[in-house]
This record gives sequence, structure tokens and C-alpha cells, in this order.
Amino acid sequence: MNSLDPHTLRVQQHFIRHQTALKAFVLALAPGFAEAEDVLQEAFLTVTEKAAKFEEGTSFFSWACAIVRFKVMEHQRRARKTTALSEEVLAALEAAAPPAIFFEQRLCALENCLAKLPERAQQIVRLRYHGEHGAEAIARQLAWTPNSVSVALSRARETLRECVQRALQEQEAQA
Amino acid sequence: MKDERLNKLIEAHLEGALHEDERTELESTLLESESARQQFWEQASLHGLLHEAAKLRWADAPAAPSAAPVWQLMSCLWQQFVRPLPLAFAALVVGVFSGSLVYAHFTTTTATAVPLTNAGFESGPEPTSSGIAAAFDRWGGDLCRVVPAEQGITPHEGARMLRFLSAVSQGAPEAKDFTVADQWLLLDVRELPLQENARTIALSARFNRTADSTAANNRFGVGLYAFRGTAADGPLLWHSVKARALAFAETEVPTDSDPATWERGETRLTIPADADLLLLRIHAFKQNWQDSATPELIGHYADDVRLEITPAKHSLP
Repeated sequence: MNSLDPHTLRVQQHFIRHQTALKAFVLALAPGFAEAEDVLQEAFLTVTEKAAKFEEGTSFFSWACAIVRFKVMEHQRRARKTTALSEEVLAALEAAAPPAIFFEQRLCALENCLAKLPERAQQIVRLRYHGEHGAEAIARQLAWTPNSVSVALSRARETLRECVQRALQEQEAQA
Repeated sequence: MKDERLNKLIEAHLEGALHEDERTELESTLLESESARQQFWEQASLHGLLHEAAKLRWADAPAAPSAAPVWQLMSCLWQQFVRPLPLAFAALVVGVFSGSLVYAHFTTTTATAVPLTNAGFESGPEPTSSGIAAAFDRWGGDLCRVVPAEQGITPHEGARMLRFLSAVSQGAPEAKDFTVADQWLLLDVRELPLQENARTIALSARFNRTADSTAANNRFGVGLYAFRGTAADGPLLWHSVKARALAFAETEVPTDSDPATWERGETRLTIPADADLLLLRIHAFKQNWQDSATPELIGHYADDVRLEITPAKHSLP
């Protein structure tokens, strides 16, 4: 039964178009992959419920980020995570969040940069982000210490950030 | 210029490794400094995007076996308007409904079972081995057979079960170091008792394998895929599935080598409002299969396929 009104359907389509940026937004605030899954699912349903409150012509991403941030806060309250950032900080970060295009441009560049990573760094990144393993599980698998894995991951991310920055600057120069 | 101390704190946040004093320090810095917030987004955005980029880069490789459901919604709109890359797909990973909410309250009541053709493989036409059928309510896919108890395995329910035999459907098996044997069932979304607030479908199946299945990595999976189109499109749906599907959800489950126990795989999908077709998939996966002279699948079974509509009722405060 397809009974959603056209406006709600458009709002859902906005959500789907921005879902990669929204997911990156969630994972920045609350880095756990499994938690991000729950947050996005609940946010999608709330966005659907509140679709009438979204005005076409305004920023969907900003509107959705506010909903997503509340979902993150709800999850953190339930989980009582001691490592979670405070709600005040989450609000400040949401207010400072870059637009969706920021995430979308970086994702394009990131794919190419991943391919340029040294093999060992690719292996670590793959285990962390494709296999969704934590540092301790990766350490067991590679017979490393968890600290070595954390350092390697941090270096890989730094290398990727620099690569992405260069790619974006080159694109800007060519434009 | 990047603040190195802040860099370390953000990295610890992303790995869930912040100590209490570090968290206090990070929070204080973020609240006080606009440039710190900018640095946060430069660093932390990469964490979320890497999850997506890794899925794209290693899309053909199996992820770590996990019993956790992976829901994915993807949109052709995303490819069309946002990212003109061939492999690009936007994956929204969503999970199970849980707990009480502030913005929305979900109350799970009894699920509605959707009757499926030959869900226990007890009667009805045998699944075909010629790929996805061009008709609704007809199992089709790779080479398989409906069998009674055999090889020390008793059906999970009833007297018969499905045995996956080979990934062969329309030709020779592909030369890969793994094999995946599928069976699919195509459903007409308009025939499903969906409601505006009950559009979440749960697919489950039971899986078992013999103790002497030789591969080191045997697992099974269930999948749900929503499309626009008609039943006639069935045979073509699996080609470019990621570009064609409006949404999909997949779960793989590792199995033990105890023939006495049946493992359960389940996945859930919220059906998009504009979907016409729902494709159900069950499959057996075996790694390290390379020798075409040996059987691909020695003893891999499925039974008791179930489809339910989860009436997630939600209301605003």
C-alpha cells in the first residue's frame, strides 16, 4: 500500500540522498558502527513522521542533523556510555557541522586515496572499517599490541586526510 | 594549524578510548574554540566516510562473518544526482528497533506472518535451477534439491528440507576462490499486507551443514531486495542489483559443524513506498573452493523460511 503523501515521499528521498553524509555525521558524534545503524533507522522514521515540518527550499541536511543529534543523545542516555561526549558538546558540534557537500566531496576523494595507501595500512583500515573490528580484535588477528593498532590506524587516517585535502585542492584549482 | 593535542584526543574519541580526564579536556576545548570544532569535523568526518568508502572499495569481498543484521537502503537518486561514480551507492545502515524513545515511541506488537510458497520445502513445485523465476511466488536460483533427512541432518520442520548443491544456474560455476549458491523468491509488494506504519519486513530461515563440510569458512545468508518493475524483470534483477534495488538488507550467519543444531538467519527491511517487487534470497557460502573437480557444496541445507511484517507502531509525544 503506497499511501505516503508526495511531500513525505520527497522528504524520504532527501534522507536517502543524504544518508552517507548523515551517517558520517552520526559516526563523528558517536563512533560505534552498530549504534549508528540504530540511530539512522530511528532518525529515518522520525524524519518521516515529522516530514510536514520540513519546508522545501531550506537545508534538509541541517534539519535532519538536528533530529539525528537527538537520536544520538537518546542512545547515549540509554547506553550510559562513560566515553560519550556531553549533550552540550554534541549541540555545539551540530551547530558547527559542515554542509552535506563537505562529506560528499570527501567520500569521492577518499575512495581514490584508499587505493593509494600502503598495503599494510590498507589491511588495518579494511579490518577496522570493512570488517568492523575494534583495535583489540585487530591486534589479536595480527599478533600486534592494541596500542600499535591504534597508532597505525591513526597514521592511516592522517595519511588519508592529507590525500583527501590534496585531491580537493587540485579539484578546486582545476575548476 | 592543527593542534596535535586535540588531534590525539579526537583520535581517542573515534576509537572509543577516551579516559575520563581526556574526555573532559576534549569537551572543554570543543566548547571554547571554533577552530577546535572545525578540526573535529575535519578529522571525525573521515571516520564515518571511511566506513562507507571501505564498503565500496571492498564491495566484492565478504565482510567479517557476523550474526548482526545489516540493513541497507540505497538509492539510485544518490547515484544520479550526487555521486557520478559507477560503484557509488548510498548505504544507510539501520538496525533493530530498541528501547523507548523521546521523539518517537515504538511499540512492537505481534508480527503478521506472510504465507510463502513452499516455505518449508514440503510440497509444491521444486525450486528451479535456472535463476530467478519470471513469476511471483516461485523459488528459483542455483542447483539444489529438496531432500528428506540425510547425512545425519534432520529437517528443522516437517519431513523435507532444501539442499544447496552448486552455484551453477545458467552455465558453469564462476572461477572464484569461493562459491555462493542462491535461491530466490519474488513477491508482489502490492499483495503484501503493508500499512503506512508497518512496512518493515523480517525474513528468517534456518541453516545447517554437515560436520565434514571441508571449507574453513562456511556460512549462510538471507537477503531482502526491493525494486520497481514487474515479475517479467525477475531474471534480470540480480544483475547490477546494487544499481537497481531501491533498498536491500542482508545478513550472513556463521554456522557450527554440529548437524544437530540449526542456525537462524534473519534480516529486516523497510519497504520503500514506491517498490513493486520484493526479492527474497537465501544462500550458502563456502570459501576456499577452487578445484572444479570437487563438489562445491557437500552438505549445506536450508529450511523453515519465514516472512513477517513487523508492526512498528510509533507516535509523537
